[in-house]
Amino acid sequence: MPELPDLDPVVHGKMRLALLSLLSGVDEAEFTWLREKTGSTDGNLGAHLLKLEDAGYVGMEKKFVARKPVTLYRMTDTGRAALERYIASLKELLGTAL
Amino acid sequence: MDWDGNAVGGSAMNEREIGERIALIESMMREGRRRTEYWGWNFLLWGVAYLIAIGWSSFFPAGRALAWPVTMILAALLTIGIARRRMHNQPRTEKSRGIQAIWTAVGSGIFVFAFPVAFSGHFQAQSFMAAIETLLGVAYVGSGLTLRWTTQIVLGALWWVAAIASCFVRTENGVGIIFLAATFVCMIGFGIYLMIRESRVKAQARAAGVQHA
Repeated sequence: MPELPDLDPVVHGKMRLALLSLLSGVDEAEFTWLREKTGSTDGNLGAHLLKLEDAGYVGMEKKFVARKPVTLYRMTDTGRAALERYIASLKELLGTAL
Repeated sequence: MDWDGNAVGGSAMNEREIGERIALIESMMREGRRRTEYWGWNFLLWGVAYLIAIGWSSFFPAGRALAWPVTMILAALLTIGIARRRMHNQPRTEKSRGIQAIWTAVGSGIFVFAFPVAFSGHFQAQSFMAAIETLLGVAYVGSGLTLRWTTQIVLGALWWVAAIASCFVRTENGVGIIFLAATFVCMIGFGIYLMIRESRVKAQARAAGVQHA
């Protein structure tokens, strides 16, 4: 029987997977945009983004735009590689399941 | 599966769960790349601004010199104001930056060209309008090629056809009619078409619950 691939636990969380997928298509995104797209609460979203940050999958930057504080998130190269590995593992699993 | 799902070995997932994950990735990637800002209003705004300027300069000869500068500056200010509001918290993509660069460069170019020519005393209707129409064609085709959007490329080509035609008509009225026709098709018609299309896309997204994945 072929060995099943392990899925990265950081990427595997559904919210974190959604966040990485969203960030993969943009240069950077505001916290409020991510909240809008995932329909999450501030606390929940913040916790998941912190986990992704700790893993080095996303980078965070705080700055002022028109005198208002804005928190921007950007996917790192490590995060992109992790998402690609995760997708490859899913495809491999799907191949095994079929 | 919940949104907070944690470590799960590959073996624990069944086919349905894997399918769900792939669907989630696809829908979120699509959402990230979606042109979150819609620009149909802007084509309509500029089309109407051209009409106002043409109407003002044709029917109110007293303030003719002010018609184009005032209308164009107001349209530019309105564009900047509305765009700033609508782009609030929207993420940037390489493509969106490219499109913005094209329109900013061409728009600024038109202002830089049009005002000195209009006030220099060397204004010549045929070549002036041909230059404006050529520049608009450049923006349409450039943006259409970036987005791989045939409709916009075709409309850009139409601006160029208008530019060529403007060079060959003999009267200023003829030049005006060509510009009006191109404005109706490429700005007003295109703007309305885009707004209808965008409202359909938004309705579909709402119905599919894309907003909350």
